[in-house]
This record gives sequence, C-alpha cells and structure tokens, in this order.
Amino acid sequence: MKIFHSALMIFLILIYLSGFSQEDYSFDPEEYEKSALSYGGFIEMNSSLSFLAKDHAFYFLNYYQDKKSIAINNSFTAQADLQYSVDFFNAYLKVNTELSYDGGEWKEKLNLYNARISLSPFDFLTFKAGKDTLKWGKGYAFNPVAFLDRPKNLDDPEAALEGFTVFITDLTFTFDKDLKVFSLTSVLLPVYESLNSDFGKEDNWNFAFKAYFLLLDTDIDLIALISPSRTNRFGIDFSRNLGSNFEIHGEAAYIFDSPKKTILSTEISDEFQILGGIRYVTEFDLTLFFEYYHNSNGMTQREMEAFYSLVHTGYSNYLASNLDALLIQADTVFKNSFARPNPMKDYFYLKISQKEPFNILYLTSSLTSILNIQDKSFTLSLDLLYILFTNFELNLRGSGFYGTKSSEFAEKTSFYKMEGRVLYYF
Amino acid sequence: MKTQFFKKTFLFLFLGFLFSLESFSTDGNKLLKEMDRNLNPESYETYRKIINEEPDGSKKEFVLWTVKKGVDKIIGLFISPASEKGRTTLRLGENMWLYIPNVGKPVRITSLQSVTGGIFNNSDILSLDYSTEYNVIQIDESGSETLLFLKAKNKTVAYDKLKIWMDKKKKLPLKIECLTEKEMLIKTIYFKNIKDFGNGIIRPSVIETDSPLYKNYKSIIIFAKIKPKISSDEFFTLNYISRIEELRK
Repeated sequence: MKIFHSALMIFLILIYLSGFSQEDYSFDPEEYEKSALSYGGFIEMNSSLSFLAKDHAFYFLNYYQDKKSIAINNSFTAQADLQYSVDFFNAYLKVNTELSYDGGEWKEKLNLYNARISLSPFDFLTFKAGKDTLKWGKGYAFNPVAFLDRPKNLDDPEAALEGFTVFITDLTFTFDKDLKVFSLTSVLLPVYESLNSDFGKEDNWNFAFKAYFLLLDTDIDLIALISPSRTNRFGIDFSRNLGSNFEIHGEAAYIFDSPKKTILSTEISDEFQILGGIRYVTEFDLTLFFEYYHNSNGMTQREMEAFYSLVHTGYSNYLASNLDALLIQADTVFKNSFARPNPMKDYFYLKISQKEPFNILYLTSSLTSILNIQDKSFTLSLDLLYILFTNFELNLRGSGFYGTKSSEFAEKTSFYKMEGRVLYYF
Repeated sequence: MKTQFFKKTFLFLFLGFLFSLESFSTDGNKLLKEMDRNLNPESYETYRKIINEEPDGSKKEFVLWTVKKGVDKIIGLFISPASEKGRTTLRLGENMWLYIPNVGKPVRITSLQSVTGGIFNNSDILSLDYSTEYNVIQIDESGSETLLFLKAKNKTVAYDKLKIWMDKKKKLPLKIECLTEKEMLIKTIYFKNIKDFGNGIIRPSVIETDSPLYKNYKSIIIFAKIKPKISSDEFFTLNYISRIEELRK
C-alpha cells in the first residue's frame, strides 16, 4: 500500500511538473480582428527639477522678476489617436492635451495635431486633406529639408509634432529594375488669418513637391517648396544601408532670400543647410547615432555674444533702475531671431543607446550630447528607460549644460535638469 | 607528348569538377526553393506572436500581422501590445524601414537591429525566402535528414553562413544554425509543432531560438494563420507604410 501511495505521489508530481513544462504554443488571431474604428494613445505624468544658473542670460530673461534657485514643473499629458478606415476611405485624428503647473498657476494646452481624411481610388493614387504632419527628411536630430514641418525638439527628436492644414496628392509607381519605387507627392498649403497663420505671410497658397526614388537600394528625395509665405527653397536627401548594421544619411537644402535677423540688422541672403549622419549597431546591441549639421546663415559667435551682452546689460539696468524695457527688448529679439533649436552654424549630435546594460532586463540607457562646434559648449544627457510592465514605462533623465561664458549652452536657464516621466499606453 | 596528355587530363578533370560543383549547387538551390515553398506560399498573409522569454522567466509578447509578396517584399504591422500598436516594418530586398506612429516618418533600419528586442533580429522577423538570400554550397545526407550549407549572396544579409538540418521526406527545416563569416555561432533556430494551416500549407507552427550571445534568453514565434494573398506592389512602399492597417481585413 505504501508503495502504491509513493508511486501515486510520484505520478502526481510528474503530471504536475509536466503541466509546467508543457508550453502553450498557440494563440487565437480572432482576438486581434480588425474593426473599422480603432484608437490608441498614451497618458504621461512628467516632473522636472531644474537647478537654475543665476548668472546666465536666459535666467535673466525668464526669472528676473521671480528669482529662485530651483524650478519645479509638473505636467500631465494625454495623447489620443482615433482612426476610421473602410475600403479606400480613411479618417485620422490625433489630439494632444497638456496640463502643467510650475508653482504659479495651472496651464492647459489643447492641440489638434492631425485631423485628415484620405481617399485611395486606385492603389497608386491617394488624396489627403486636413491637418497632417509630413516629417520630410532623413536626419534623426536635424532636418534641413523639413520645409513643411514645425521645428523638432532636440531633447526629444521622436516626439509627435503638430501638423499644418494641407491638400496632398500621392502617386506611387513600382518597378523591377534598379529603380524599384518612384513616388511623387504634391502638397498645397494655404495660409490665411484662420488657417496655418503661423507658417508665414498670410493670404497665400504655397506649393511643395517631393519626388522619391528607391534607386540602387538608396532612398533619394528631391524636394521643392514654392512659397510666397516664406521663400522658395529646394532640397535633396538620401539614406542607404551600407551593411547589416550600418546606415548613412544626408540632407541638403538651399533657401533663397532667407532673412537673418541679429540684434543690429536684418540681412537677406541665400541660405545653405547640410546634414550628414550615420547609425551603427554593434553586436552587443549598442546603437550609435551621429550627425553633423551646418547652417550657412546661422549666428556667428560675435552675434550671439552681442545678444547675451544685451541681456546682461538689460538685467544690470533692471537691478539699478527697476526698469525692464531692455530685457523686454532682448526677449523680443530672442523670439524673432534666436528662438530655434539650433541657432548657430555648426553642430554635432551624438546618441549612444544600449539595450539592457549590465544585463538589467527591460532597461534601455542612452547618452546624448549636442555640441556647438563654434563656441565648444555642449549638453550631456543620460536617459534611463525602464519598462515596468507591458504598456507601462518609467523614464528618468539627467541633463547638464556646459561651456564657457557667452557660449550657447552655458547661457541656458539652468546648470542641470532632472526629469522623471511615467507613461502608460492604451 | 606526355605534357600535352597531362594538360588535357588536368583540363578534363578541372572542367568535370566545375560541372559537378555547378550541378550540385543547382540541385542544392532547387532543394532550398522546395523547402521555401513548403514553409509558405510565395505571397501570403499571416498572424504571428513573438514571445521573448527573459532569464528571470518573465515574457514580452508582440502580435504582428504580416504580408509578403514575391521573393523580396514583406511588411509587418504590430497590433499588440498597445505601446507598439501601429509600428510597421517594411522590407524590400535588402532595404528595411521602421515606421513609428508617434514619430510619424519611416526610418531605415538594418537587418541586425531588432525592433522587438530579444534574440530575433529584423531579418528574422521580416524573413524572405532562404533561396532569395543564400546559395547552397554543400549538401550532406545522413539518415532521415539532409544538411545544407548555405552562403549569403551579399554582405547586407544578416548571417554570412547557415547550416540547415532538413527533414529529407517532408523537406521542412528542423534546425538552422546562423553563423558569421568566421563560423562563430550567432543563434540556433528550432522548427517545431507541424500544423495544417489549410490551402495545402503544412509546416512548423512554432519557431524557437536561443543564442550563445544571449545566455538564458529564448525567443519564440508562433504562427496562427497563414493564407495565400496577392497584394498590390504599391502597398510595399514608404507612401503606404503609415496606412498599412487599411489593408487588414
């Protein structure tokens, strides 16, 4: 009897263990059936702590009335996509809303990023109308040929951007030769008081086209913008894989009659922008992005120093007389002339990203640096992205700004900035 | 006279050797094409689940809808989890792109990167027919198995060499070793659970992989549906990459 009980016990243990070792290798695709209406998006909570630099130009501009050593900002962001698709008709909506608090008052922003419909009467032909983001160009951090996009945030080049209201026609042709794909995209962008008014001069229609070639395994775009609202410009970009772990890309843009506003004058001249970059993946999953960007009409070091000098003088006047007229003037100059992510001539961008460093599961670490080649100032950021659960991410970032006095990154508002972000996808 | 005889004999043997090599590689490549067709039709759609098993026993899962056309066109749409939903990978020959909805533009990716993490890289996830990327350079027969030695046709292919253990009767792969040019083992892929998917497609429904470079990790692909599908060439272009969901019925 004892033997029977022992044998039964062993049998039951084996069944129990076999139950564990049995792997369930099936799934039901019906669970993922497509419905005409689909949605997605994320909710994000973000807190940042900035250690303010009390002798920097941008501290004077932003905090001269409210002196403090640290700035805390909390925000909640929700972004939702809604899509309706049936046969050759598609409607797409992307909304982004942000509620932020910096110790003063709560601020709310609601942006309609995209709202467009598209029709494809034939596989090779698509019409789109509505608010759309085009994101032209091959660069990761810089895009000289993104003629119809809003500027990227260099701290987060992959963030979604608000689009412009446009009318688009896409024609696509495929071949079995060295030229595998040719497509032609034409875009009409109207600018009126109530439509795309931040694009440029109002009461104008702007026309752009992009001819895309997949030629000899290389992506090539030829781009042109005929723009009464801005100025005419032409561009070219390319991207190609040179090996199983190595990609190169480049962009060049020529902008006619580009205005360059400094604190002393406004000059009109043709502008040339160029970008070259690589992406390299090592055997141990380290990804390296490196880009060089040049803008012929970027500010010179002397022009930037003149601007910083104006701010410093403005602040001295404010301390002496309590009058902030010069600081307000400097702020206006900044918004008109310098308020772009890369205002000077030459930059390097480097991002090194490692998946699961030191065998820490679900962690991705990245080190990012932007170097202003002219004044040798730079930023250095360390990012840690941890996937807590499926669809639930935790992101920590620390950034430092370095350089000598009157250099771009050494005149920023803060020395260091720390950010924490919790993100949930739905 | 002797020299001439020697020259002729040498030439005869040399040409004979070349001819046998040529006919051998033709047979091998024919066999490889047969194996490709047994795995799936040249043009098809499928639903796949990718599971990455981590050393601590936890799992990350992704569900993809994939459409392939001809020998060199394949597109994959992530439909789960929510954080990956809408991501689309496109492959045209040796060219690969990834589209992330929030980023809003396709970027080139390389075959050795992995959009899902884990052991499967992009060329595994967007795999074309083996005969498209490799030539058979040697065949060994042993019992019920055939061992094929493959060499990549060019440098952009993810693995320089493959060793395929094939079921001689069913002409389906049992195991594949992926090697570098210097014969270093990158990963081993195991084909399991043969299933009838209908339309004459009887093939392994599970692909498992492990790698000496990722100790204690395991990645699995489970196939749920495979059916022939002929799609328009225009869908396999960058203009469609953001809208590929529209093709899913």
